[in-house]
This record gives sequence, C-alpha cells and structure tokens, in this order.
Amino acid sequence: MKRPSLPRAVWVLLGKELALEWRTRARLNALLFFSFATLLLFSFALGPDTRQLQRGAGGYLWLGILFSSVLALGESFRVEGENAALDGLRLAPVDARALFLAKALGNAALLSLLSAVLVAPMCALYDVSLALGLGPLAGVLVMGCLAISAPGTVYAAISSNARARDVLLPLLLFPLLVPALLAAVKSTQLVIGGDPMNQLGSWLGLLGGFNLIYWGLGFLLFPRVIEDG
Amino acid sequence: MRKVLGVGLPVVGVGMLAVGAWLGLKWAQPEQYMGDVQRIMYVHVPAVWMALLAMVLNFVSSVRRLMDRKPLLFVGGALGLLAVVAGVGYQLAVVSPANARVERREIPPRDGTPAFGTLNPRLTLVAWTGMPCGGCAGLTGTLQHLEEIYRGKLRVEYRVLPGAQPAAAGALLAAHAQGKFAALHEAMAAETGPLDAPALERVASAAGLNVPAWQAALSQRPFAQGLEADAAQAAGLGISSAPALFLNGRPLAGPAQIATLRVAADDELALQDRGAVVKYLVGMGLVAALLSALGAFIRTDAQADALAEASAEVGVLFGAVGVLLGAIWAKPTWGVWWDWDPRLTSAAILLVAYSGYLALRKFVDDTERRAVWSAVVAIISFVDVPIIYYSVRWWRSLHQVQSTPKDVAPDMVVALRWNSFAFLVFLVLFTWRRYELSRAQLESEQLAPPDVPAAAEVKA
Repeated sequence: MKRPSLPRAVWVLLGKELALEWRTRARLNALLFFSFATLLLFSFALGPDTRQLQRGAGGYLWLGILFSSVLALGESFRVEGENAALDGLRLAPVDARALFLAKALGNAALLSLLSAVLVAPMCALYDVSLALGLGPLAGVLVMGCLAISAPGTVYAAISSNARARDVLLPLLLFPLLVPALLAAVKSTQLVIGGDPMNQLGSWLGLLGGFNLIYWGLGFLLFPRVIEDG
Repeated sequence: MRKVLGVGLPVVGVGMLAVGAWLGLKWAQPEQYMGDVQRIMYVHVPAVWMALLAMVLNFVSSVRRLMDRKPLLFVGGALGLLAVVAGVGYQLAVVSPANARVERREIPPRDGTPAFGTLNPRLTLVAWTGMPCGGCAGLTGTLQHLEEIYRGKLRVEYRVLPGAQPAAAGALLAAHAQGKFAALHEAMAAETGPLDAPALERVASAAGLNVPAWQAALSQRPFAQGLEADAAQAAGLGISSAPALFLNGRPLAGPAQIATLRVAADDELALQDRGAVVKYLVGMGLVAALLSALGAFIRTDAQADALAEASAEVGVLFGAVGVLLGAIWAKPTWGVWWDWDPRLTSAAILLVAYSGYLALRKFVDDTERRAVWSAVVAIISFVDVPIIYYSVRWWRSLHQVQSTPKDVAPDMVVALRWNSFAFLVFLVLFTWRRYELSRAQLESEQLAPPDVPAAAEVKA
C-alpha cells in the first residue's frame, strides 16, 4: 500500500478530527458553556466595578480560553483511548508527524471557534468595545489558540496515559504557556483599548515566534511520544 | 576513588561554605545603597546559577536520552558549525564594512576630568569646550539631557581647550573642584563681553561659586597638570576650536543639538548590537557543540535518564532556595515580598515547570515511557527559559523598570565567585548521590516489576 504524502495525511486526519467534533456536538456545547461560566465567574469575583472589569477584559478572556483548552485537549486524547483508536492510527501507514499536525490543527480550530463565540459575551459582560475592530482581534485569537494547541497537544498525548492526568496536563502546560499568555493578553488589551504606541506588532511577533518554535518542536518530538514503549 | 569523593566532597563543600560565609558576612563591604541586605545576594545568586546549571544538565541528558551518541554529536556539531559560520559571515559581510566606514580617534581617559553618567558605558562622549566658544551656550544642559535619554549606557566627559582665553579654561577646572563646572560654563557662554579678570569674578559669583576658594585655586593652579594634558590631547587630535565632540572616538560634526546627538548615539548602539549578534551566534555555536559533546559522554540510555531525574530534582531544590532568598531580599529593598522582576519571575515559573516534570515522572510507571516522555517535557521546558525571560522583561518594561544593581564592587565579585564554587561542590555532590539513587531504583524496578499494572495497561 502506498504511503500517503504528509499534507494528504494531515488533510484526511484533520477531516477525521473535525467530523468527530461535529458528531459529538454535545461536548462542544458543554465546553462553550463552561468557558462562558468562567467569564461570568470573573465578573462575580471582581465586579461590579465596570472599570476594573474593562481593564482586565483581555486577561479574563484568555484565562477562560486557557481553562477550557485544558479540558478540550484532554478530551481530544481521551476519545482516542476508547476502543484503542490511537493504536489503530499508529498501525495505519501514516507518518506520526501528520498525526500531530492534524490533532494540533483540530484543537486550534476548536479553540478558535470557542474564543470567537466568547467575544460577544466578553464585550457584553465587561462592557468593552473593540477599538481596532474585529479583524485584528480575529488574528490575535487564532494565533493565541495556535500557541496553546501546539505544546498542548504534545502534553495532552503524554498526560492522557499517565496517572492523575487531570492534574498533570495543566501543571505541565500552564507554566510553559506564560509567554504566549502574556503576548495574547497584551495584544487583546491593545485591540480593545487602542494601540497609540504601535506595540501590537511586537507582541504579535512574540506570539508568532512562540508558535514557530513550538509547532517545530512538536513536529519533531511527537513521534517519540506516541511510539510504543 | 568513590570513597574518597564521598567523604572529600562534603568536607570540602562545608569548608568552602564556611569561608564563603566569612567573605560574605564580614570581609565584603556593605553595599553602597542597600547596605547589609545586599549580602543575601552572596547566596541567592549562586543558588539560582546552580539551578540553571542543573537545568542545562537536565536538558543535555534528556536530549541524549532521545538520541544516540553518534547522531547527537553529529547534530550538535553541525548546528554549532552552522552558527559559527553564520556569525563569521555576518562579521565579514556586514559588521566589518560598517565599522570600516567609521573614523575613530584614540582618546585616552583622564582622571579627575569633569564627567557624569554610568561607570561602565557603552557610549563615551568626550566634549572639548573652552572660551571663546560659538555655540557652547546650553551645551552642558544638552549633554545632561542626552545622559537622561541614554541612562545607564552613556558617560559624558569634558575636556577644556585653552584657546584664546587660557584664564577661562583654568577658571572652569577650578570651578570643577567645587562641582560647579556646568554652572560656570553656562554663565561664561552667556557672557558677551571679553572675559577679563573682573568679568570672570562677576560671572563666577553669578554662577554660585564660592569665589574666595575659587580664586585661591586659580592662584595655586592644582589643575595645571590636567590642563596641560587636555591641551596636549587636543593638539594631538588637531582640535583648534570649541566645542568639539567625540562619541566613542568618532568626531561629531555640526552643532551639538539633541537631535543630531541622538542620531549618532543610536547609530553607535546599532553598530555595537550588530557586533553583539556575531558574538551571540559564535557563542551559541560553541555552546551547542560543547553540550552535544558533553551529552555524548553519557554512555547508556539508563544513565541519561537517571542523570536527568537527578539534575531536575537538585535544580528544583536550588531554584526554590534561590527564589525564596530573592523574595526575602525584595522585602527590605523594594518594600514588597514579590516584585515582577524578570529574573525572579522566570525563576519562579521555571520552578513550577520543573515540578511538573518531576510529577510526571512520579505518575508514569512504565520505565521506557517515563524516560522518553519526561525527556520530551524537559526539552520543551528548557527551550521556554529564554522566551519566558525576555517576554517577562518586555512585559515589565511597559511599566516602570526596577533598577537592579549593575556596577558591582570588586570585593562583592570575590565573595560571589567563591560562594558560587562552594555551591557548585554541593551541586555536584547532590546530583551524584541522587543519580546513584535513581540508578538503584531503576535497577530494582527492572528486577521486580510492579505487581500492580499501570492504568493504561489495564485499559489495553
């Protein structure tokens, strides 16, 4: 049997990921409501002073996304454990790196969708308006979600097979994501509050660099993670 | 050998720590601004350094765990060669031509000359002034403003040119003895008439000088040597009229205005930065080659895994001590237990990251999986170290930047170095002992596999 090329394999596997998400929409819905609840909780914990909420809106949005991402990432490998689906994929004549790219892209797409849906509640709950408009915000959200999902996918693959995986994934992932979180929150704040000093570019540059490094590292290291020990 | 080291290392380490405590607590002078609190640095800084060193060791053994010795040497050597070639190429293609275009003159330093700014400057501006001087009005103010803009990078030194009015030059240096160089300079530059003796006295009292002391200095001329040295330097450089400015030896043409000075200073900094890129590339190349060679010393995969575990645990220990001491230092210095100083913050984040690494090792029972997975996590975490540091620094720089001591006194350096070596002895000792423990654990696991199967195996 001919081995499919890497892009072709990624395409097929990504289709599988998305189909899986679509057919289990209940999970996506639960995730949406979870992140919405997180945003609500931030208002209860810090409100009702609207100005304080406005100042921190970008941070609360990204913390909401981050908390949901841990659940989404963990879930994306838990389903592979059912019926030993991951073993089946490993047996297929597909490059393991394609598996990483498809999984990470699927997670990034899911998180991007989630964050896009969260924008409206954020604007409403924290009373913010977008000074720079939706276009730059979309860019920031997609880049931030890409930054979460590349190392997140590697770590989710690891922790899904360990004991205490629900504690392990955030413990491994959160410190790693500090630079990405900083850059994403700063960029979002700039999109919300305006960017008089032209800082958005450099923060997006940091986010881009983070993405480049961790998509590269994940691509190199992921095959070692899922090969059978 | 092992027995000798087993007894010797602790004895040497404790002895060195005792000497280090004496050096740090008694011998070294209290720090100029922060006083005795600063002494915490003598243990805080070595602890953090040792933690970083342990992380490097952890990284090397983790890479070695994922790669065999020969490919490791090959990849490390190739990466190192690539970086060195890139650095040398950049030097030849960009840096050297850019430097060749710049004309530089040698200006030897002179003690006791009027000067301000940092002691370890990247930019040294030497300004010749004297009377008469067209365009000297406001010169000292302009240079002070420039120093504020390039605070911590720039040092400004004045030299005086005897010129047509040697009396004025002497008067300026005599005023410097009272710390009034700039004041007298501005008062003189504003004077329109000739600067004869009565005019000088009027100007001096207007500038707020202690006039009798100043006149006594003028008749005794303690500054004569300096004046001669300045005149000789000026003659050597071919300076005939004031003002004449040199930035790192580059003669600056045109009037001394803040805008033109900034252009020159930024250009000079950019040149230095490009030189730094070369050093960085070559340095990184050598480090890559060195680390891969170090990794190739680790013979078996089991040794690499045990060394990774040992160094991570010891590193977390030293890191925790370092962060704790940093917080204790921050309280009296900055008035808070925690400050978002980039170094302290990155150290704390690292501590959490490597605690996660150690937790992962505890939560995976299969030895092979544990080794490979933790190696992957170690590599990913290590790569994050510089990113965290620079992003936190960046994030901080948009708020106010906390001043951290840069100009360290020589006796502080001695105490710091000594304590670092004392800590290094303990780093080696702890890592070695922990490594032997890991090896023994690994062996016992392989001899008697755990009777409780791992969760993953049950599911499969």
